[in-house]
Amino acid sequence: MTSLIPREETFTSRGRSAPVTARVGIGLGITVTVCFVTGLLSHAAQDLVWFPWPARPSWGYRVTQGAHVISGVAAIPLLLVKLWSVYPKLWVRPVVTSAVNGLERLSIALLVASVIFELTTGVLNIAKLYLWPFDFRDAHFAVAWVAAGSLLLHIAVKIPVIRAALSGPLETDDPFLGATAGAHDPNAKPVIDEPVGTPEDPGDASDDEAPGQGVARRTVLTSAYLASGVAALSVAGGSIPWLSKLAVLSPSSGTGPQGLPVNRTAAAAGITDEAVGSGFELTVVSQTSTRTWTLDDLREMPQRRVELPIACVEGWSTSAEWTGVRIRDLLAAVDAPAGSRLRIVSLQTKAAFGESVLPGQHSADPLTLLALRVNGQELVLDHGFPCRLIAPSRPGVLQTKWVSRIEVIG
Amino acid sequence: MTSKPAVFNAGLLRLLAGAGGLALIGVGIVNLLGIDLVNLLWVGFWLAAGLVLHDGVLAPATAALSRLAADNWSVSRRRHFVIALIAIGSLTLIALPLLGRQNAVAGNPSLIGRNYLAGWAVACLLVILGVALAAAVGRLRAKRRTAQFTTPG
Repeated sequence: MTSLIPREETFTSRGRSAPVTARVGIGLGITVTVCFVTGLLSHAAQDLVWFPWPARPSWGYRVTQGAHVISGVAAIPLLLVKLWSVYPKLWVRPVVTSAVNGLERLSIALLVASVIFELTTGVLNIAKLYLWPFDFRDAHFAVAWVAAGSLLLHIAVKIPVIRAALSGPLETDDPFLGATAGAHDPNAKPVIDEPVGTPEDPGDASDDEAPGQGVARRTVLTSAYLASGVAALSVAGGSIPWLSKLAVLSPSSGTGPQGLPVNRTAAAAGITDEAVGSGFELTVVSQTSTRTWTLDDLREMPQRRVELPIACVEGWSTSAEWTGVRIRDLLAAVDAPAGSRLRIVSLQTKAAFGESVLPGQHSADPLTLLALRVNGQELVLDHGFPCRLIAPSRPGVLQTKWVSRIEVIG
Repeated sequence: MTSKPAVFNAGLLRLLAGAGGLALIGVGIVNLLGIDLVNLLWVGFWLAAGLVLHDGVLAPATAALSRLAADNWSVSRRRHFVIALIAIGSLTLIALPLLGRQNAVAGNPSLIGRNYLAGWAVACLLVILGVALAAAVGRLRAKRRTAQFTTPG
């Protein structure tokens, strides 16, 4: 029975070694860090916490959230290869040698579980597949801290091994860094993955693959980074327009009515024809004044044309030409100063984000519009007819559609 | 004289990184405790499920595949197998939630609107073609090298 349970030395592939782990770890560390930091930035932009999220550059959120999704997806192959390279350590005997060793193993379990959780829930979220009852944003945000912290703790613990592994050659036979025990003991049984090999069976090995040594570590390493690039490419076109055709796994089709994808349709938001019919009025309320405009009134106000992207939290983004009334012109009409903090209220009756807060730096920006037209046409209902907010560097879910009321709140 | 400060700094750096890591984990736990108990248990389930699926299914399956390849193929073939396996395996895991779900968001073809099955298949095919091309170039080079060494004079 016990022979069915593998031991560290039963995994003999030469690639399962510290030089590979450390070198893959560099890429994984970079992608996880980019993913974590851009995730925090998205949190700051959505929940208006920690610091005033700037309105410029206008493509700011497009870049940070695109980087969030691309780096997360690019991390997946690197994580898989890193876990593969250290998998024998899971079966080391004795399981725990000391209290400190036990704590270290526990921290590694926390690291692996939390990083897998983040990447899995992230990929499922962009696929709009929610297989859990908990709030995605709350859980993804909380576990992200655990993942980042576990990673930092792991690096702190492993610095001596990492330094030694990176300063030596990739194909070293140093027993401190080399392949796991099986590589040092070719007679270890049972061997359950690629064997060390025998001099009699050298195959047509490359220069890195000396007879009897199996697939070279360089091959494993190159494969990990190539796969990471391929994975990134499969979604990158969602936020990088010239790569759109290659984005075979992007959640957005890159198109929609008026040349722009729709994230939430009017039907999904509970918008009725009646609510946006001829009786539609926009109300703007300041501390001293309240005014209403019909759609025709809004059309008669000075119209501005701006080029701005819609950047979705799921990573995709598309630029469009928007035409409408500047928010600060509406504020001036109710004697409110430019740069007032605003509550933007939608007509939507279903789903989240029925209202949003527009910070002062965005309301003051001349690019921020109450848009009536997109790409030269009057907005269709799914894009927010009769009018919607469009502001630079703002998460797509906060670009409130079907706006009926604007309140000055600070 | 010069090594002591370096050692001290490295030790201090480790200590700071370790403390920073624990602090970040603490922030995460505080945020997790803000989630109600039932949902928190679901988060715990998903955390454990990922670990178990990787360690108990994916990793042994990969080891078994490697063993199978090692028993039947030369090192050169295994090299190309490894490249293809990592790329195609990763693409498949990323594509899994999308496969067969084209137009899954009712009334909104903008989202999940691509033919993901075809896209995934084409991407895998391109990986295989790329690897095959690399293998062919490798064989050609090896032949030339052999010819160079065996040519008299």
